[in-house]
Amino acid sequence: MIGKDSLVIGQYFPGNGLLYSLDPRTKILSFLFLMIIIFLYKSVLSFIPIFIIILFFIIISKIPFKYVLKGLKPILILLIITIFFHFFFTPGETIFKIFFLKLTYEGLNKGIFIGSRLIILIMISSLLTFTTSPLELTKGLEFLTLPLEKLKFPSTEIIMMITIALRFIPVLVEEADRIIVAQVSRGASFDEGNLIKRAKSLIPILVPLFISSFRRAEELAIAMEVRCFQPGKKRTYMKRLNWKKIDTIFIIFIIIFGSIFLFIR
Amino acid sequence: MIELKKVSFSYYLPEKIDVIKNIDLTINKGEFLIIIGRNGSGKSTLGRLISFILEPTEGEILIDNKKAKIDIDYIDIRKKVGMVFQNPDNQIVSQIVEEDVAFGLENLNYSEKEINERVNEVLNEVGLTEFRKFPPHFLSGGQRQKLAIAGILVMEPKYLVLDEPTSLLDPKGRKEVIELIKKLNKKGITIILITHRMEEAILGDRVLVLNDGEIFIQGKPEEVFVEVEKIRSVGLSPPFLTYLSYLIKKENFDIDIKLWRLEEFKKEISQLKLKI
Amino acid sequence: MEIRRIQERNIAIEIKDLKYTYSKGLPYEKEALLSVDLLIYEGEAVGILGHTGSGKSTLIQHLNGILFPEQGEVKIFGEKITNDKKFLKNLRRIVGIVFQFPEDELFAETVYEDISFGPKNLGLTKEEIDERVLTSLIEVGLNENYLNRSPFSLSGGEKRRVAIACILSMRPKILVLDEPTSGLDPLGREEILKLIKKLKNDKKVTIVLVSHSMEDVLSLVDRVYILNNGKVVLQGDTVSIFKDKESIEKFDLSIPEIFLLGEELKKEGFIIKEPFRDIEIAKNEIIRNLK
Repeated sequence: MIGKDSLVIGQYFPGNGLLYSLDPRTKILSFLFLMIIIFLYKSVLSFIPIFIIILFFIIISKIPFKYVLKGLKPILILLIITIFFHFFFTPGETIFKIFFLKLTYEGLNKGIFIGSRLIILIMISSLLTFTTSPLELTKGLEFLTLPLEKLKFPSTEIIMMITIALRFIPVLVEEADRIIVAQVSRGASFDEGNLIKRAKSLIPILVPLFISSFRRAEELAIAMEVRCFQPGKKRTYMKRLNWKKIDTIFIIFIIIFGSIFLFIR
Repeated sequence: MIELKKVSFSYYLPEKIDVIKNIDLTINKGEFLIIIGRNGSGKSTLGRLISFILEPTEGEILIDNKKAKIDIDYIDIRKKVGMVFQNPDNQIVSQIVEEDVAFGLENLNYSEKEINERVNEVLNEVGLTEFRKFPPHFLSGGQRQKLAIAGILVMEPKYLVLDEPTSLLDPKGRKEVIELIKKLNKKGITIILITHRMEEAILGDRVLVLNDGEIFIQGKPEEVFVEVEKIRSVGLSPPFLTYLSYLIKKENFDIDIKLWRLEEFKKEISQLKLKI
Repeated sequence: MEIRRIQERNIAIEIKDLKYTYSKGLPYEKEALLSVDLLIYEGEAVGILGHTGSGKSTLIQHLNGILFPEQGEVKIFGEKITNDKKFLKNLRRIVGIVFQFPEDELFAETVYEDISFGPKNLGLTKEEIDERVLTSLIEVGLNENYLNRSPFSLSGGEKRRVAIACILSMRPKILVLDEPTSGLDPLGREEILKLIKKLKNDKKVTIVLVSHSMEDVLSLVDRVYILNNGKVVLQGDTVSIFKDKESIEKFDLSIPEIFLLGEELKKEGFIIKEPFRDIEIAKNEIIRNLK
C-alpha cells in the first residue's frame, strides 16, 4: 500500500565489484571530494569526464539504470524548476521569446550547467548508498567523526542511533502497512473529504502505530541493556575497518582525476 | 541458585496495582523451570524480576547466595542472567547475523580475536553458521529467535529466562527453538521458560502456576496437571489426554488422571473396555 | 447425492489461476502466489494451511481487494473483484477479515467508538450503528457494560473479542480469520473457537480460517487447502486430509494427538461413529464404547 518501491533513495543494492570491495571510509571521502570539487568547476565541459566515470562505476557495479533513474525521480520537480528559472530568467542575448519568457544564451548555459551539477550530485550520493550497506556506512561515518569525540561530540551514541533507526525503518514501514490494510478492511478510506477530515482519518493508523512503536522501543531498550549496552561507554568491534592498498590507490586516483578538470574554463 | 525472598512488585497508576505479591521462590542450578499463567497473571513481570530487569518493590533477590542490586553489580548480573523475549525482531540490533551475536561482547570490550572465537562457537551451537553474513530478515521466525538466543549465549550466562519465546512462531519454528532450549539445559544452563503452551509446560522439571501475582500451585508436571479443576479454574487447561481422562473418570469410569502418553492411554482404554 | 447437494449451494469465493509477485521489477522481487485455484461455497468453513511464507496472507488480501491479481481472477458471490471504489466499499462489507493480533488495531477511546468505526464508514444511521455495536458485542460474549470502557484497559482475551466485534459489526457474509487464537491462554482460545462455531452454525457465515494450529483447524473447518510455495499442494475434506499422514508431514504440518487417538482406537476395535475433532466428541465416543 505505502509504496515500498518508492524508497529507492538511500537503498543498498547487494552486489560485488570494485566499489563493493572498497573500505566505506574510502568511498565516503572520495565521493565527498567529488561532490565538493564539482562545485568548483567553471565549465559544463568539466562534468563530462565526471559523468563518464560515474557511468563506468554504475556499469562495473552492475546496477540497473532503471534503478538509478528511480533515485533521480524525487528531485525531478526541483530539477525542472531550477532549469526553467535559469533558462528564462537570466538576462543576456535572446535566442527566442514566448510571451514574457525570454530564452537567453547565458540562461541556456547556466541552466544546463546547474542542472547537470544537480544530477551528478544525486548520482554520486546514490552510488555511495547503492554500493555500501547502511552498516558499513555508519561504521565509516563513526570512524571519520571519532576525532570529534574530543570536542565532547557524542559520536558513538549518534552512530548507534542511526544504526538502530536504519534497522527499524523497514520494520515500521511494514507495521504501518499492516495497520493500513487492517483499517481499510474495516471500511476506512483516507482520500475522502476536506483536509480536516483527511487528517482525522489518520488517527486509526497513528494510534496503533505509536503504541506498537513504544512497545518495540521499550523491548529493544531492555534487550540492549540485557546485552550489557551502556550509553556513553566505549565499545570494541568484531570487525574493524580494513584499509587496503586499493583504497589508497582509489582515493589518489579520484583526487587527481577530479582536480584535472578544474582548469577547464 | 536464584532466590526470591518475599518479593512483591507494584506500580502506581495512580492507584496502587500489585502485580507480584509476596513470592518466595528458589530456582536451583541446572533446573528447567516452567512458569505458566493466563494473560495478565504477572508471569512476564516475574520473569523480569528473576532476570534483574525490574527491581522488587519489596523483598530481595539473591543470586548465587549474594544479594544483588542492578545499579551496583550491573555487569556481573548481566553476565550471569540472560533474557529472551517474545518477538525476536525487537531484540536484534544489527543488520548482519554475526555482528548481532557479537553485540554483547563488543559492549563488554572483548578483543576482536575473542569476539570472533566466541561468535563462531555460538553460531555453531545454535546452527546458524551458514547464515552468518545474512541480514536477519532473511531468516525464518524460528531462526531469528535462535539468533536472539545466540546474542545472549555469547555472554555465557548460567541462567536463561525466556518469555514466551515461541508464541509468534509457526510449528516448525517452535520445534526448532524448543529443541535448542532443551539442549542448553542439558549443557547445564538453568532455564526459566514462561509459556502458555501446555505441550511445552510438560517438558520442565518443575511447573509453577502463577495466578493474580501469586504462586497458585507448583511441582513436577505430573503432579501439577492432574489437578484438572484447579488448573482450569485459573484459565489454563491440562494437556488434552489428561483432561480427557478426567472427563471420563467424571462419568464414573475407573481410570487414572495422569500425564498420559497416547500409546498408554490407548491400552488403558482398551483394557477398560474388556472389563465391561 | 452429496455432490448434488453441494452443487445447489452458492459459490462464495472463486479463485482462478491467481498469481501475485511482490516488488515486481526490483531486485527484491518475490513470488508469493504462483497459480492458485480455490472454490468455497456459501456457509462452508474452510481452512487454509501452510507454514510461514507459503503465501497465505497474500492470498487473503486478495479476498477484499487489498491486493489485485497480477494474473487470474477472484470472484466473490459471482462478481469479479475490480478496482472500482464503490465496488470495493461494498466488497469490504461482505468480506470481513480479522487479521492476526487484531487487538493491535484498536485505536479509540471507548469500546463503543472502536466497534462503531466500521458501521460509521458504511454510512449507517445512529440507531443502526448503536444496534449493531451492541449486537456484535453480545455475539462475542461481552455485554453493554463494556461500551464505555477503554479498549486498552481490557484483558488479552477481551481485547481479541472486541477486535472481532469490530469486524462483525459490518455484518460480513464471509469471515476470514488469520490465526484467531494465537497468543491466547487455553480458556481464551476455547472461547474464541466457540464463538466462531456459533457464527458458522447460527448465522450461516462462510468461514475462512488461516491457521498454524492443527487443533483449531480440526475442530472448526469442513475442508482444507494446503498451500506451499505459492501453490495449492493438497486439498480435501478435513478428516481425509488428516488421515493422510505422509502428505501432512511432508509440508511441515502435524496431526493433532486427539485425531490420532480416534484412529488408533478404531484399530483396536472401537466403534467410532464420528472422527475425534474435539474433546467433547472424543469423550462421548469413548464413553459410548465403554457402556
